[in-house]
Amino acid sequence: MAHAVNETLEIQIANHNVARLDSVISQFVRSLPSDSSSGDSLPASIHFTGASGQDYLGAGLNDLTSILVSGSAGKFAFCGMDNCECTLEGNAGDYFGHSLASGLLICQGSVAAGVGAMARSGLVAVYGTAGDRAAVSLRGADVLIRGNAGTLAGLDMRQGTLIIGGVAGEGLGTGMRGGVIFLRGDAPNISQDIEEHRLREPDRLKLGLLLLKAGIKTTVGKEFRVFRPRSESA
Amino acid sequence: MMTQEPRPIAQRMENAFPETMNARLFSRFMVDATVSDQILQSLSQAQRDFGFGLYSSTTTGSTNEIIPVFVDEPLQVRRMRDAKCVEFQFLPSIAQRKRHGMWRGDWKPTLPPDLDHAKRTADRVELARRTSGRPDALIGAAVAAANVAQDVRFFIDCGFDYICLIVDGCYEPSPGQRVSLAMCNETIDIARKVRDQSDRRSFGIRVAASGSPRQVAEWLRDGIDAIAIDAWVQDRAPATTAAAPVESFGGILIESARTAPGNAAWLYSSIRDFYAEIRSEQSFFAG
Repeated sequence: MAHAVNETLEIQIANHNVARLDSVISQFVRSLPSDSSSGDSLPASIHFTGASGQDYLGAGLNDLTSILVSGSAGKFAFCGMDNCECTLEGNAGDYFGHSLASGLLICQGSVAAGVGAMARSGLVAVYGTAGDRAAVSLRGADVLIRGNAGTLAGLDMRQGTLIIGGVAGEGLGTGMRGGVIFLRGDAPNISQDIEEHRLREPDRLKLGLLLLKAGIKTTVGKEFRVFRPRSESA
Repeated sequence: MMTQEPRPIAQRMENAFPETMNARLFSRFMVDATVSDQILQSLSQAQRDFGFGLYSSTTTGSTNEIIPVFVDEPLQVRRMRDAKCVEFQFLPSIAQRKRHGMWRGDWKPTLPPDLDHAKRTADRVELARRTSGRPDALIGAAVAAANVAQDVRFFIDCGFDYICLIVDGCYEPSPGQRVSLAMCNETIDIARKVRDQSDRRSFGIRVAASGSPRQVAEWLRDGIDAIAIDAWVQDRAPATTAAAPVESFGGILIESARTAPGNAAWLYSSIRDFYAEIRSEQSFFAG
């Protein structure tokens, strides 16, 4: 079932191939009455309801203004997304936002392992906690975790920013070759591949902007620690 | 020699490319080498005229070609949409193969840190299948022919439809730009044996190897689903296109000091000749 409400298209996910939400959207837009104000063009925002842990939800979505998903998602949710603003109201499985190309991706719950893996650009924000290997092989995107992160956060990270608001698990920054990690809480065992730096004004500005973009209104004080790879600073 | 029945995977492959005469011969130049526009035009013409199998170039995705996905690069999910065949490349992508004189090392299999488990690889196979939107899409894996038995087992466990074993890797269409990694007959025997011992008898085997049309015809009859004939084509390149690595005064190998000519008609005619010879082989043994 689908209907347009005030420029918002509401779609029940149900039994659709969630890895091809683009096709689902096109199909529903075509099915709308011809006298609908939206016509063939896409509405300003799309609300998917009834997500219940499906894998590959929203993989490869591109060029859509605003997506809201009610419910939870399985693994590889919004993988390879490009130029969209998506919000997931529930939790997500492994590899949330894998290979993100651009745009804004928010998970209001918690995520499992590998959040933001290989993401190239854009921002992945998680309001809850994240599992192991957050931002693994990150290629330039920004990954923000408001809560705690599991072991090996920033593994093999090459470029981009990882922000952890809570505590980081063991092996933070293992194999990190580029980029920067901001950590607000403690870390029991930090990798030898990274070293701590002083929080400078540009770092503070960047942090403030990213937090604002992720919808977190707070002031950035000295509570954040900054880590960069050893080779980069040498 | 007994003629074997076509394998199911081969049937599926021909079903996947119905408009082509025979996609069981293909080229890997577009993923293994940096090809010029002229080479690309010749390959595309061979695809149109003979049904020669090609990989999609990085810039222009076509659903009628094999979509390469490099496992050490971010996933380009949109390129997999509607794809009939997606092939995961367990080799470094071209962008990372620019170090002069390091060609041999480039053929080492590569695994990013988040692909350390068969389950995680299987998830990507399923992603490709679901994203393609086609239940009959072929999902394959290309790997250098090194640990053939282990690799075949691993890819069967991960749910791939076929493996492409690179026995002779050609990193340029010019003569001499090749890495031979194994003996083809031995590689094929090992792969078939492991496949036959598994519960996935329909698992396909493709090879990229140097072989004459007669050998290729035999390999196809022996159950190999498709063969990349780049090495054979490469041997037919005119001598003037030779671009062997030359040693600089610093003792560093540099890629090429010569300029390849703009005309790549030889490539098209080599593929045409191969088809003519293999047709002759097939009709002779069929008769």
